[in-house]
Amino acid sequence: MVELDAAQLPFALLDDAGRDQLCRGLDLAYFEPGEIILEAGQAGEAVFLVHRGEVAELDTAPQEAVRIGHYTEGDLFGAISIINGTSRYRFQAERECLCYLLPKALFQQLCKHYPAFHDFFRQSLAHKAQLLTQKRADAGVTMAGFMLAKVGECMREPLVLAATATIEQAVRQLNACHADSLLVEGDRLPGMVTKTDLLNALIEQRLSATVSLGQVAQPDLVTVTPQQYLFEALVRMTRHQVARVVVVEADKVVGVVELTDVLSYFSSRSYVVSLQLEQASDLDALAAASQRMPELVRALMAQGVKLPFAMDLLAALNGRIVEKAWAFTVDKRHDDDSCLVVMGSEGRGEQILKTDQDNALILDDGAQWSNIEQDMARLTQTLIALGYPPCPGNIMVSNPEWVGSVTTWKGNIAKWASLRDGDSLMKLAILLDASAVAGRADLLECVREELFERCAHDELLLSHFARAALRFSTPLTLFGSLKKPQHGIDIKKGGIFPIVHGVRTLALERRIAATSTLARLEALAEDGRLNRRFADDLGEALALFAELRLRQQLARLEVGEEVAASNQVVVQELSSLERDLLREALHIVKDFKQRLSHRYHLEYT
Amino acid sequence: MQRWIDPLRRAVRRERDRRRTAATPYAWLFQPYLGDEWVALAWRLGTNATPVSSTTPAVTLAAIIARGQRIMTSRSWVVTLTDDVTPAPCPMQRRHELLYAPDAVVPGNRSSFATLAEFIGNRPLVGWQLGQGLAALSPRLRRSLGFELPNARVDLAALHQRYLRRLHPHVDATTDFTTALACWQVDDAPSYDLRREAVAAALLYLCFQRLSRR
Repeated sequence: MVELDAAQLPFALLDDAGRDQLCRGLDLAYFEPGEIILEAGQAGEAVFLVHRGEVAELDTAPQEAVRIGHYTEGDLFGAISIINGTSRYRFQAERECLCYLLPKALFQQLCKHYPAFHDFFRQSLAHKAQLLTQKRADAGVTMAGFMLAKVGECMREPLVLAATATIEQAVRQLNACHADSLLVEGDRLPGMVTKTDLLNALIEQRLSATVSLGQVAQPDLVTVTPQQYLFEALVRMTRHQVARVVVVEADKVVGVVELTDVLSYFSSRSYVVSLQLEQASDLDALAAASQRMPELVRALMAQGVKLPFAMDLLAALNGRIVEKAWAFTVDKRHDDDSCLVVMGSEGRGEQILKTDQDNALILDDGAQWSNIEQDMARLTQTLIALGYPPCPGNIMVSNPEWVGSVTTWKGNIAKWASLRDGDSLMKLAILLDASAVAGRADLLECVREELFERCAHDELLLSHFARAALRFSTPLTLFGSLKKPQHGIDIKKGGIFPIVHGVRTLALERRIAATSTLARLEALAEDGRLNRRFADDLGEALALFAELRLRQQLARLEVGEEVAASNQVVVQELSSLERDLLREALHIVKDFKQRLSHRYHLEYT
Repeated sequence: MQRWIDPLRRAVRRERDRRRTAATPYAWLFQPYLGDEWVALAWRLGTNATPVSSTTPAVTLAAIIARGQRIMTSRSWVVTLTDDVTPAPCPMQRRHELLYAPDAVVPGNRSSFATLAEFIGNRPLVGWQLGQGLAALSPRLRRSLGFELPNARVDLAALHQRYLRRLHPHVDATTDFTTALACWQVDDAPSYDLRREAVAAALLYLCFQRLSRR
């Protein structure tokens, strides 16, 4: 009987009885260097688990066998050969090897009794990534409680009054129930009245206490469904700057979730940071809150939070930081005739750690702002002080080129669209990712509409625009295995950029206003432009690349190095499952590039 | 002289046993083996504090079948054979049971030895200092079945000395199994795990086979 690491996948998917059965059924085989363990076309008779040594997977189809895979201690191979009947590739010992052999009959028996074990060998990239996250969570830290908590578990009964009820009645009701807000029944969705609204009505607007609640209630509610994660409710509260969200199911109010409820449900750092952000009344306090972001990122990663969720929360928090920086720096009267936008990865909500600031200012036509240059220079300096390094390409509001009225921006777009040179296309791409963080968001929509109008139907422009996605080669060898240079592969050029830019091009063509790549993928799948499964795989691949890069960035941050340049991933340092995932993800990128190439006729460019 | 006398004596005994068992169900054990399987053995007799003798009250034995370069750990047999003469529970038997975690503890009677003989068959036996172990086991076998194991034997200790002398003439050959494993870079096995010790013995034999082909 053999002792196996029970925590290792896929054995972790078996129960004790299954593992015992497995250990009792394993044999041990020795292979000399160069010996063929499993020949291409040969029927699979066993699954091989490498105990010592190295095995190469070779594609024998071309005239000269090409190495496409590499297996070392703890790696499994041969299972697919059993499932498919024969082996597609040759497996050859590179060094002397000791392999445990799981006989075919036992393997099939285990597959039959343990569906999860069976699925491991058939799963898609998304499933493998899920397993990896789960494994990491099991290995050290418990799965984040707040990732599992649903809104339905935390909501409270809504306090409802008729729209005809008076302010006086509302105050009595709030005091009686020890609540801070109540819902006012309206025609469709109800409105909301908070204690602050009532105070404002009585003191600021000098309304009488007998005035009906219908006149005071806020009609715009921030809503969630009971099935959504509590985490998402927190993101919505942060994004909309409210302290409560209304829980709606089938157009009917079923509850309310207060910020304090969320706090009592989980006392996590995400809340502490967002609270610190909200309470920051000066730049020093804001800087202190902003400096805690890497700590929050580490905590989220350690708790096994899926990257898209983490990105969502961090984007909301980053948005609030920039918005507050704007509020501290710029006179409030400019809020009504200008819009501060963040662009690039920040605009897409994909900047997890602060790498640089890409921002611009859109002014309403006819807006008067005398000392705009000084104000914007101050805003850039403020953001630098808050930890956002300056943009190397000078795409910042301190650069007058990135400040202009709506008409100026429209003119710029027209100019860039007609020029179509590399610089113009890059500027269009940056602007396409713009997201409003302060001031009037409709100004950005106006500019974006012009961008769609100019570019969405221009096939030639789209073709030029898409070409950048093919600029960097995918780090795969000719026959599909991972390239393994000593210094590592550039995950940004090889994986992230082609997906982000390719999806951006498709979004431009389909006039999709969403800026995050995942939201764009969702919209493209809804639209039918991308196959749902392929869109999911692209999303998972992007999340994997981002996670691998984030790990490098956090490691660099740990030793006090700059995070911006940490895009190199050394394949040799990854676990076998991660290598496997990376290879599959890069294949998806390669496939995506081929589709882009076909769609935008880039084959001969 | 002793070097020649012992094998001669064993050959004579083997021939006598073969003739005696010719009409019994054990006759096939004396047939020459023509396959490519062999059996790796590891054992513990008595304890360090107790001298080993034919009346040692407990023997734990691990046997693993190997075919070519494949060690079939799924076809292994680890048992503690107790001496049915010694009143149970004997502390040494209990000690073996706890220390070596055998699959079963069985009385060292005819049925158990018959099972052992069936399991091993007429395959060659491979083990470290095999002669010593079988010498302690043979009287019990003879008492129970009327013959000793007739199988061809490969003593790894002797092979170790031979290859060490041939390849590294200046190194003193040890009689310690663990040192020998380290010497040929074969995975060590914990002393309490007899099954893994048998696997280690099998791996060491595979290593010597490779050396012989060079």
